[in-house]
Amino acid sequence: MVEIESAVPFKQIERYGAPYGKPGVMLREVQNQSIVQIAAFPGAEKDLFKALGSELGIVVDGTAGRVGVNDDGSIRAVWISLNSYLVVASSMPDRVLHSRLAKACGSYALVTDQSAGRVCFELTGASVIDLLMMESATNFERDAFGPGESRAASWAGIACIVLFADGSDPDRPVYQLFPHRSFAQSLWEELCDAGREYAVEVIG
Amino acid sequence: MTVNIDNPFRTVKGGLIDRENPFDFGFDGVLMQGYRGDTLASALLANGIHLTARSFKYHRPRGIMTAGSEEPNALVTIRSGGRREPNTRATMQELYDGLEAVSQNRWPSLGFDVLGINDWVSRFLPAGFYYKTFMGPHKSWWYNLYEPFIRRAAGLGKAGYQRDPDHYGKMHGHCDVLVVGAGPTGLTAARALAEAGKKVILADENPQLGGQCLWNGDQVDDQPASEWAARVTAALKAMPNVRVLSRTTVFGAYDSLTFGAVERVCDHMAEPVENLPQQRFWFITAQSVVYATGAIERPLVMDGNDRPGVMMAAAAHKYLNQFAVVPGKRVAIATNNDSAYAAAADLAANSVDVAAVIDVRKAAGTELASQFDTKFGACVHEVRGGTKIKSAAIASLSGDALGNTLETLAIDALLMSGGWTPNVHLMCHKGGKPVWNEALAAMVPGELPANEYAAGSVTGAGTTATCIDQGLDIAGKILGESLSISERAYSRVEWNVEAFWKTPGSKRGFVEFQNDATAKDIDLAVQEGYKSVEHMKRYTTLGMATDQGKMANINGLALLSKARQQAIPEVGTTTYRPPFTPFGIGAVAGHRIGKRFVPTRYTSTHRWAENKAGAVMTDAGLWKRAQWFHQEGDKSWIESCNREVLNTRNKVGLNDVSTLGKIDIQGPDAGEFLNRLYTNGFAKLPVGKARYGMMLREDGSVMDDGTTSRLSENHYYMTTTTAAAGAVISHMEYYHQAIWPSLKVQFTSVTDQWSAFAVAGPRSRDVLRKVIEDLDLSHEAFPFMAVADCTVLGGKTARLFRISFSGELAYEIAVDARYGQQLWDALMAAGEEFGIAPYGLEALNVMRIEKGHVTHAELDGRVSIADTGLGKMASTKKDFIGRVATTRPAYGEKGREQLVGLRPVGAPTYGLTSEGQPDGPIMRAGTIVYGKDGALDWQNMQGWVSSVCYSPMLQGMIGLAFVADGHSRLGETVRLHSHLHEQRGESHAVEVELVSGHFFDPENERLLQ
Repeated sequence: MVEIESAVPFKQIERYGAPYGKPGVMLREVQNQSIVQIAAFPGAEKDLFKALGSELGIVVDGTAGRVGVNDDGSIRAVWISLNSYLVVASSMPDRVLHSRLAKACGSYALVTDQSAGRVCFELTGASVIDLLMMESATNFERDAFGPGESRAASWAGIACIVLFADGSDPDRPVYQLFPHRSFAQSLWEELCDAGREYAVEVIG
Repeated sequence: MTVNIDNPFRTVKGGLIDRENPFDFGFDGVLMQGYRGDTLASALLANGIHLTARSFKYHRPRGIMTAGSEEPNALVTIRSGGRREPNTRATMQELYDGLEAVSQNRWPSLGFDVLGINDWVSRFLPAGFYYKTFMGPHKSWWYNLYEPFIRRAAGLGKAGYQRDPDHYGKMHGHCDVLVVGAGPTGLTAARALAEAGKKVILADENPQLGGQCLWNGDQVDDQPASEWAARVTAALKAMPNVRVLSRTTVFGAYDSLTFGAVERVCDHMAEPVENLPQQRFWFITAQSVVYATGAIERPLVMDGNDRPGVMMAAAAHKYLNQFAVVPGKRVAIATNNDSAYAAAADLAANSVDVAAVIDVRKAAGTELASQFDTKFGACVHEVRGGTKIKSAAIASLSGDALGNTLETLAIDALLMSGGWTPNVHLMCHKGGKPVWNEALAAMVPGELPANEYAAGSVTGAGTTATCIDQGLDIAGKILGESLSISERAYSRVEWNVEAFWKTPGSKRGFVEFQNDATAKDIDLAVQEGYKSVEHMKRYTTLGMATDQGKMANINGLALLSKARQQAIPEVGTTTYRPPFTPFGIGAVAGHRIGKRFVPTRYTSTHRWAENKAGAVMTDAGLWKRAQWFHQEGDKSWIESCNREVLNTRNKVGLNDVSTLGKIDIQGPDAGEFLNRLYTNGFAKLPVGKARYGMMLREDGSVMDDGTTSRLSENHYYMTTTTAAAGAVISHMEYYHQAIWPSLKVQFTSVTDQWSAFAVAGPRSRDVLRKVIEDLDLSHEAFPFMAVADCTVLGGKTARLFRISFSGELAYEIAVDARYGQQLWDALMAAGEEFGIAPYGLEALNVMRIEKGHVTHAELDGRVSIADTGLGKMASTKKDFIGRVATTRPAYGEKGREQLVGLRPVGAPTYGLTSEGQPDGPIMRAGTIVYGKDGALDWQNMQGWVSSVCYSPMLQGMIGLAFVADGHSRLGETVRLHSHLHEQRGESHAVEVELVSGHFFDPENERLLQ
């Protein structure tokens, strides 16, 4: 059995910052996700969106920052740049998502497996926005960045896609960061170190 | 240690200090007491201490002059060890329990400073004296004697050498309106904007908001203005759409309404609270900005105006009403405006003997003048004293001349007010020009760009009432509506300034205190031809460094205009530059310091290589790569490297090449896109094949090289060098988006998706046969440059390339990076019986030099494709980026440096010494190539060495070099000479023969096995 390796090889399950009280940020690495990048060929955008809807039931229209979700919430099309998305699915065997999308969308778009190339960090807690604002010029405050939106940003000089995954509990908003794999360790360390002010608890 | 706890200059009541919380602090070893809410300056004054510093050049005794960030004199060093902080303004440093401050730029003590002799010989040390003296007898005197002496004699504090133990943070803020300054204007504007729903950031450099309301004695709705300010502050802090940043200086204004600010989070504490930053650097982006930056009272220029005990009148007013401190027991006030009368009135009400008010005007505009012995039409013409003021001589004014000396007042403090200088700095950082306002005798903001507004004292509104009105007006402008409030403010005085630039006859009246620039220096600058305001600034140093014109600018401009006999607006003003006030360099760095200064990129095998295999890691761009794998007994890295090369050449080696750039390219026009990028063709590359390609920049120089494979009809996979991966994909993006947007192609980086390993050596096929589950690897079925998907690790997809950088039978196998380490382990296990061993960058480098392959050591941005010897790869049948430029005459000129191989003359063979170093002629990369005969000078230079190595296969050193007309000179002898190593007394010269760069297996028989 071949197991997936963590993108954060030097990860420590511990708490950074004040050792007591409620942590401002809880941080974990989300593994076992299928991530496929799609990018429409010039002029084929509408065909791509249509194919994506037919194949996965996700509605997107190219609006910058808007994320599409299928009915049961298990697959998201996360906007990353002009007519380009990361399609993120949990609990799918390797390359199944890629195969389906390549078949459905390959005539209209680049379809590339990024399940290893992109890593997912999930951050929850009352201080996530403050932490995000520390090292990014992108405005992540609630009036500028709402649930179901994404941004192509950089944090501490590391490029990453930021997704506001769930805002249903205002006290525990859920954000996901998608850095490139080789930068994951550095980004993780920066999040833990910069976040000491708010207390960061690594939970996985 | 002397102990002084009686605070003889503290009033018994009043002020905003917390008398329930006394703090002990020290200054130059003397223990004193102050209170929470004090600044270091107010606490020193409460203890009767005025003398706090020695001046920069003349070492004159200097005292506390202001009560704000404009302070030019009272710069002290606080803290110790790694937290040592020189040049701290005592006027801004909040007192904390245990604070230890030390004076600067004096020896042996502040009271008796040996270099005070500079003041006695000041006539020989005018502005710019160092440009005219110290010329001889020889220039070495300057470096060895004059400069070291001047550096020791002049200056401010000294930075510490220990590492700062604190960390510094960063934060980004976005708002509808940034309000800079929280005096009455800023508070009013911020409140009105916030109540209208705007998202507001309100920043002020002080710990308490309110500005002049905290001390000017004005009233709002019949209550002290300080109480109004406290109410508004509390209301603002309670609003969710307002972020109040106290202790925060907006130090710079930049394009697109972005601002830099520094929040002094823990500077008011002995040590920072754990996990909090000492300071926080803010990047603020706003839709609009309100500059409510206030104004600074400026000094009067008169002889002795820098004596300790001479202070700005508004500062004394602030010390009295905010800090409950009086500057002296018997004071005089010199002024050219009405604002100083309010200070005089409040001091008198607190039992201070106001000996006289000396007013240059004929009359005052306030009834308060009648309370004092006011001497109109007079000025102070000399302040006397040593380390403390003793008296002030008063004279009448007769037109532009000095009249009779009226009297000499024995006083212990002189309070001066020369008018008000609006804080226009931020408005000028982007090139804005202030304009002269004759009524104010000052520069005020000129026309501001869209969405930028100035209000309050910075525009000349001198009273609390007018500031509140302007704050409301400006908020109304931003909101597009007319606003009103019921609060009514009452102010006792307005400014009513009458310009007065210098006491007639004064020569050593200081204009700029921080750099010891006098009125005489300005005259001297003009006399010597430095008439432009910018030239005068540099000649005299007036307004330079941290002052940035706060205290000195207007007086300096006025005196310059007088010397040039021109109006002030014609003289113009100097350039204001950020930062408005200094802050720690740590705030700029933030917490990303040391090894985290830049991100590090890791491959999937990093931990194995470093922790289990003895790899010595090195930087390759942001990546970490194994340089070599040390084994017990290796005497040098060369021995380790040789072992890895020999093992790969004779058996099989494994190298992590995941750092190479990898780009997935898809679309019907992908082939055409690649055809345009590369010099050679890719549109007709068969599916399942790879091809080596070179791409050029627009100027014809080689940009990068690598292989690109065709995976299917519309799908390619490009590899780039590690170094140029980012540049190549940016280059592709530019052409795709801007030049050829209609091409139906898309691409993305998959560098991180694939872990890739080179399996090289005669047994590489054997190893892979054990790992790959579904591919025929025979030469016939999978020939050189073949590419195919395959299966490894019990069902995981991999991608196999038969390509070789080492010149051996070799493959590169790529797998989903989540399984990278596991494939590596599988390859190591499978290869055990064949003698597999990992090899690092050094061995890789040796093998590629042996084959004459180029890297960015050769492709350094200056070479053409023809220079590398690969000119035939430039297609003549299609267009490509850089094609036109390659036809330029310069690329075909005789004498161009061309890539060749080098070997020591006679190609001697030799091994390693007992220390593991080459035991024979040594060549060095970077060495200059000279002709065989002739001088070692530029006329005889013929090229340079790009790469060298000790080749264990050839038993000697080999190298690659760019040599003039090298391709036609093979067989010639040239000299390599390293002047650097000659200076070090190391091996530095060797005669070499120009040879083909294909040193090893030139017929490529090994890789075609």
